[in-house]
Amino acid sequence: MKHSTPTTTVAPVLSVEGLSRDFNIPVPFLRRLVPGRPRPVFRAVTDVSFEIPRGQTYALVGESGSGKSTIARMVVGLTRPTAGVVRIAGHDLFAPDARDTRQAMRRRIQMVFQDPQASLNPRWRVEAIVGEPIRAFGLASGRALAARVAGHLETVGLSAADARKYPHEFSGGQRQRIAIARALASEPEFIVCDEPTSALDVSVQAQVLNLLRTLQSDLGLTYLFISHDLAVVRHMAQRVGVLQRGILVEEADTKTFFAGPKAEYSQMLLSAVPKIRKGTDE
Amino acid sequence: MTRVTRALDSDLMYSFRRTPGAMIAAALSCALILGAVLAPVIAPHDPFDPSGLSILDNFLPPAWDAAGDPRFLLGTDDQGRDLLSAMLYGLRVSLAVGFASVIFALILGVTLGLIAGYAGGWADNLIMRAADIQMTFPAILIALLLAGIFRGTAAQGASGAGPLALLVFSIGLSFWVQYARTVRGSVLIEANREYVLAARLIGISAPAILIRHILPNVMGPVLVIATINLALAIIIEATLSFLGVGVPPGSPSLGTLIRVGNDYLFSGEWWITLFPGAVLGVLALSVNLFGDWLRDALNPRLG
Amino acid sequence: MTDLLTLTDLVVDIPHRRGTLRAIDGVSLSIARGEVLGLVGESGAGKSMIGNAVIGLLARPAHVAGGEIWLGDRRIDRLAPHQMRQLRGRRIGMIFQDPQTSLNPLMRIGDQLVETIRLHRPMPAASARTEAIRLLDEVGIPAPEERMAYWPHQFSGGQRQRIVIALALAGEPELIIADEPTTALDVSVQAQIIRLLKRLCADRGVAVMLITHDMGVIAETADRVCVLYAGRVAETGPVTEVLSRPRHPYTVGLMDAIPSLDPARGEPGVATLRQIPGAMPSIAARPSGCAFHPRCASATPDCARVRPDPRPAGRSEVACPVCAPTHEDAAS
Repeated sequence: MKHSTPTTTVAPVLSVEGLSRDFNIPVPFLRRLVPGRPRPVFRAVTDVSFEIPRGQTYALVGESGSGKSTIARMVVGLTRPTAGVVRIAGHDLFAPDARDTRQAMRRRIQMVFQDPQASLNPRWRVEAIVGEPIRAFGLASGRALAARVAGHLETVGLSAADARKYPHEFSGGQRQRIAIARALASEPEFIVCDEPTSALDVSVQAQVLNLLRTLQSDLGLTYLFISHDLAVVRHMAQRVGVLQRGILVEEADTKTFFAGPKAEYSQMLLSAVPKIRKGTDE
Repeated sequence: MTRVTRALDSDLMYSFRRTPGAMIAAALSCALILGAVLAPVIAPHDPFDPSGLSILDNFLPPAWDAAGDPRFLLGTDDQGRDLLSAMLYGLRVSLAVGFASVIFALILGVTLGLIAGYAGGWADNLIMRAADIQMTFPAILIALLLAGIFRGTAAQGASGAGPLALLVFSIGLSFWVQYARTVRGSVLIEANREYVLAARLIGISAPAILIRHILPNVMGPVLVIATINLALAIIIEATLSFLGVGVPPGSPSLGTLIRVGNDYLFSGEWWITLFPGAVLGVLALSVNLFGDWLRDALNPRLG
Repeated sequence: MTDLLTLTDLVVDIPHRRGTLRAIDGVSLSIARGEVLGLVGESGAGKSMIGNAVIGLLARPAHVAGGEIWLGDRRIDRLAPHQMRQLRGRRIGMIFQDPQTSLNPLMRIGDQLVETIRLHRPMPAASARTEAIRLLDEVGIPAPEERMAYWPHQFSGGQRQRIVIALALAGEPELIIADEPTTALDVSVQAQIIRLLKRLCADRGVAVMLITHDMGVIAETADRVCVLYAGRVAETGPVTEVLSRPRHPYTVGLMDAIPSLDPARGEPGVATLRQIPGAMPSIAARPSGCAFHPRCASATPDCARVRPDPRPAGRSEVACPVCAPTHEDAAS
């Protein structure tokens, strides 16, 4: 750590302070010409703050429209916040002078998307998909690049020979493994998982969740885990934040949260989850 | 499997082999294109060699006619040129102008469509409003207008490839809108797909994302439009040539031949118009049918 | 208990240019009046295809190639298209995954309801209108009389799905086929729709075929469950029995793979999920014998050769000669 001082411990991998994001609501062209009317905005995220220590998983839970995906995009630098600060290992992601360090920061942040169908370019071979971050950050080229791609594919449980294939030749679970291999390719320390298993079947979901857990402990990764599924969150995260209409209504350690959530909304969410085994009711 | 066997095994080839119409259309198009390309080899005469022309041979009917001459299978025109040879060379010009203007329109339209779709904002507005305005005029009118303007400004000293390039430019410019609209629509969809976000995430530049990621995924519909437009471009070229604002008289296209023949149609020399007209019709029809099949085959919802 | 819907040995084939793919390979099941049968399976199991076969809406070129489908005492797998159309909506109601596409966006919901009611049950417009309001009320739309004049886009996703259910009920069907009715909805809304479906089923004595991939929805809604794997039934039985005492190795693996809120399943954020290796085979590459054998820990050499048929085991029927007997012994 360059900026660490004796009094502070190691900076958290991600820290988010007072994050807000507004979206313009589309207005018909002629009405925009009427003067004196402010453009209406929709506040998707309001004043959200949290941090994730190294090697931990923080889960953001919410229903559709809760702003969880907007936060994910701001945290990885795809969407600029209207207000607030995103710090990656202590560095401001959106600082104006960070343009040259931006690329260095980008290498440390990666993302695994929801739909493995859409997150892999259908016209690219797997070797090009997984190799793209390696090439973009100049980590390797030629034979060394091919070797790295093969290594990453093996890490996620695929074979080196799969590099020559196209995404459509794989099942949904395997495609998500390829997406994870691509996320690992830039050797990041922080990965945002945006609903990584909600498009997958249950038996495959378990495989992918276990893979993410193994990678975390092997590589010391830090996760921001976005999900609508409380059971998955209970399994994956050490800490949980509940979002309702862009506001963080509750934040707690997973154990505390599932023992008895405080916010009314969290209680409602928890009680709405279908219970699969109703114990021994015979 | 090699690339070739895999291509032959694809669903597209399967559909192709199961659609006789498409196969006939493709065979006819290929035969005509081959004839045009090989014109210098297979044409019995060189219609542009003045020393080989004899004015005594003019207006000879086709060879099977009692007054015909076996040297000229499909008869001769007003200058004694062999009509078959003139048509093969004319086909060359027609196809060259058609292909070139489609390629020009494709490059222009795809580029503008990519920019409009990905940049959005004022660039999108500017490009798409220009497209809207152009769409209100028929393509032939625009081509006619542009060809007229260029002809007027470049009339002095223009020779060789110059007029042809202007023709290609005018026809191409009247076609770009379709490509731009299609590509823009596809880009709007593709740009929000997660593979594009993944590329943005690692700092890949906008031009690189457009060319390497998005372009290959929007080319399918573009190629279908290009095929159908090829027929249209050939017809527009023929129309312009027929109206006298097309290719220069030195290198006659099918349209020029039809116009020349038109002058003699009512004096009994029907073959000068009929044969080039038939070839033009067959060419446009087969290219069009092939394009229609391609559109249906690539769009499972219609099939 | 009389069975309303009975499938015996249903076979659905998809002709393909290199031969024929067998999507559904001999499925037998039945639903009684007033019963909710959950049809559960992962993608590629063929669960939606069974629903579509019953309502005669298989996407071409898929077709019923064997077996029988009986609705009450009428055989319906051989009906002409116009006879099937009369049946759909009238005797069989349908609810699909996406309420967005099930409603006509250009028609007020009142008009859609009145039209559907009068299509199936000829009656004067005024009575159809009263009936429509009653239906909206029944599915829990507040101020139904006023909402009759609303357009579909003026409702939330959950309310729209309620309206779709009202439309499915308009012909007073005896059987409702619900294909992933809650998948597009948020958890909180999903719970409401599940409750609504259960209540309607009980009140009206309608039989429901609930097609879903979500064991949680099955657990909350269904009376009996039918677990599909690769176009065949792996296990059928009462929900309590199958979910709390799964017998087929696939059902066992599936239940273990589901993340749970149950404290007995380990500490939050610590316990590892159990997983089934591999994935559901594609229709084109189904293994011989028991299709699950390559992923099965207790497979014997016989499993690759002999295709098991479901047979009684406890209160369930299980298609596994290796596991069913031992579990049956343990249960009794």
